[in-house]
Amino acid sequence: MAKVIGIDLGTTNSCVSVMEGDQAKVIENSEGKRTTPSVVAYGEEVKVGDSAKNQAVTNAENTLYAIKRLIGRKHSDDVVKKDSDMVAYKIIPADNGDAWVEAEGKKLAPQQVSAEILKKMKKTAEDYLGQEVKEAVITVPAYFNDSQRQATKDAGKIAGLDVKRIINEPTAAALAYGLDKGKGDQKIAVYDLGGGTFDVSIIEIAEVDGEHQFEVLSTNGDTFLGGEDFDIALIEYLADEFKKESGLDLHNDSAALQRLKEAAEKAKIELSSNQQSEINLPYITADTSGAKHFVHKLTRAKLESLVEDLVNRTIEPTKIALKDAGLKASDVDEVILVGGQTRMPLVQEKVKDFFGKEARKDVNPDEAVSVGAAIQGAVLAGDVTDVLLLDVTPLTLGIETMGGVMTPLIDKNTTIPTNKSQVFSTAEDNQTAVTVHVLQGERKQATENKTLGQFNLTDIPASPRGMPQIEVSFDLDANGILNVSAKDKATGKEQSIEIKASSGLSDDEIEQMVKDAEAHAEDDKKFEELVQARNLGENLVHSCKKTLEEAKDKVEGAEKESIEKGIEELEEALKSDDKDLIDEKVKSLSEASAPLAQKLYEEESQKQSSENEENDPNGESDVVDADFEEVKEEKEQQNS
Amino acid sequence: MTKKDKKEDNPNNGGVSEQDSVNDINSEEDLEETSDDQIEKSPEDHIKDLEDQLLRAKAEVQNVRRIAAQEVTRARLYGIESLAKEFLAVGDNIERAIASCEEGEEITNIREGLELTMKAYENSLKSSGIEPIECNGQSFDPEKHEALSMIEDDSLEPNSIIEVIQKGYSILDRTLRPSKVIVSKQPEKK
Repeated sequence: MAKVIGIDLGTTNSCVSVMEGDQAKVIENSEGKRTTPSVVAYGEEVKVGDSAKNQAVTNAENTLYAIKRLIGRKHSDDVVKKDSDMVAYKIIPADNGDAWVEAEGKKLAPQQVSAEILKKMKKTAEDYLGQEVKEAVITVPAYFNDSQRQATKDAGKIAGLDVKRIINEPTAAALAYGLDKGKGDQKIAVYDLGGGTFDVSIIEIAEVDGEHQFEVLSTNGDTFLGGEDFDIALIEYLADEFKKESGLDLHNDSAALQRLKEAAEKAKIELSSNQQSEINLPYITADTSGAKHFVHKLTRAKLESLVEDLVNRTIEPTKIALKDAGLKASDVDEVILVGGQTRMPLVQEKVKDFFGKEARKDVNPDEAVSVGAAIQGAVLAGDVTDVLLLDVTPLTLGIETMGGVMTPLIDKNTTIPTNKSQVFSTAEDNQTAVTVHVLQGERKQATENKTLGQFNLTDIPASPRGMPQIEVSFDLDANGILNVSAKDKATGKEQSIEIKASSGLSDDEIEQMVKDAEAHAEDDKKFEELVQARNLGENLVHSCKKTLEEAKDKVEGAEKESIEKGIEELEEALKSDDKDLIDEKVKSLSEASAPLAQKLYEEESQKQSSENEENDPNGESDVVDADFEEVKEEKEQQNS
Repeated sequence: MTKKDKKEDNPNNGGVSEQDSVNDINSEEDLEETSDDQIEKSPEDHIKDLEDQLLRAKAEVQNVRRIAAQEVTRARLYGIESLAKEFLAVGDNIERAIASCEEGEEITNIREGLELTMKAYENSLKSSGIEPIECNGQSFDPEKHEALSMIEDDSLEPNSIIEVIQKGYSILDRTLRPSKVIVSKQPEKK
């Protein structure tokens, strides 16, 4: 089934995902990373991603990055002019005035460069899926104009992708948050603070004839404000602290500066979940007096004081965006966060203070846009409608078996429709009917669960316990209707019952039951152990009684007495709830009856071998070979 | 940035933008998007439809199984990456400690101890498929090395590795952490 992938083609990093059923999956590239740097290097061969970044220093003129700032723009554009001063590669005008680049002496359109990145994302998806990928949804900033959108689409085409849709990044984020499932109209603020840029958008989701339409009301931002600026602020502070301690300036040692940079980024991330962190850099540098170490404790409060101004810089564009949309902060129904830097508690606080409500952050902010694109891709491929039909059964379904235990047949959270069968048997000798008691719940004790229904299967031919084969089947259809049937495999006789979904439990009841089961897990475990011990004991009593009966002429007085005593004591113990007592009595009865069992077994095997030797042609032997029927499946016993 | 033209995104309908003159594949898009077919289907068509859906669903299950198995294998082999990366930093510091050891009897003892520790550490990594990246006399390879800077050196082939600032490691067939190196370049022609 052809998949439509979703690609977040970012300025610094790109990310590709695909829908698997109802879940979006972010795909790792061949380097094992979930995002790929948006860097393309031209040389002997074209390199994309980490390998392009690694060689940037050796090949600065031909290593192209942040191409997103150029795609679809004219060379005379202000942004392009600003970029020219900042990047090491040549930006040139094309014949029609578009902004192009030059690498390895060749003139290239930004579309071609972006296509290299898209090619890598395509291959990443193909390697994962094991099939060709021809269609994609690609995201662009909300402020992109027609020319920029078309250029992005062209880049896709060059990469061999049929771009089914170009969607706005804030819209994709909203899809990732499932905001297209809401009722009525909603106003959403998307706060996107990534590595290099800040974008804020106000979008409106309108419900029109059951469909959801997305409209961007306004956008604003700061294209030179991002997580990297936060890192720089911290690095500078730490370099200063080290200088105070040691008199040495780490800026003069590029290797040391690298380590400091990595340590600062790591600490920044740690401080999002901890109140303090420590910079620990042994042998950071050396001077004539020897090696120097740098150890410095960093509190969240300190970090916040260093970056507060940066966070405050995001407020003004947000205010303007609201104003342009003609809204007040209180008019916004949902605020969603996109971009790694939004993980910082200070950022979340400021956003909360501004909008007067907590922002949604339950979707991975680095991947939300890519996920949203994948969702859109799945909708366009027609996959999503199928998925919506699939439900899960919220609680375990099963029947009551010997000892008052609930034996599950369909586990909770199983996707429906589904069916499951299991073979059971009788609990007593000559039991001619079985009761199928259908239960719903998570407790081990049958009585602690909800009864959904009950029926009997009768006319089972009289036989020793454990011999009949009763097949119990549970069939749960897509509408949640449960059909339970019991069939005697020998006679073919069958009984069944239909249980409608409405006779089950409400959502609250379900939640409560799951919680109860967890709370009682210990109790349930003890109960299960007791029942197992009891069942074992009862089986032993039964088989010993039977053996005594069959071998009554072979067993002597003293032995017979000890076995009978053992049976009596075990039967007494079985009446109690004392597992240890039952175990003890089972052990002593087993020991008492072992010699007899052994004797009988030896006799039987001797008889077998002598029979084989006889080979009587006159047919005088009275011995009839008994048919052994091995029921291979595990059997549970049933109460009548 | 001032208020822009309203851009409509509709997951079920609509194109790139409101003024969609550039979009010449409209008709194709419409065909693919019709999921709500109001036309009554004959039983035969309906059956064909269902058979098709069933086959697709089954195929999807197979695909999912295959991918799941792949992922489990991958997770088993590469799952230690993030932990390993943390430990590489520890190894770096041990090497730095060794490098900073000066002459002197006591120091020699400590130095030897550290060297043995380093050896044991690299053996442990090796058992999980993690090995140092070879740099000596190698030419620069961006798949395995990260260039920190370039230095003129006419005694070497251009793009050779002059110095390793931080050791790199590979895991199985991948680069776990590239070696940070200084690369040679041809002297500028005066």
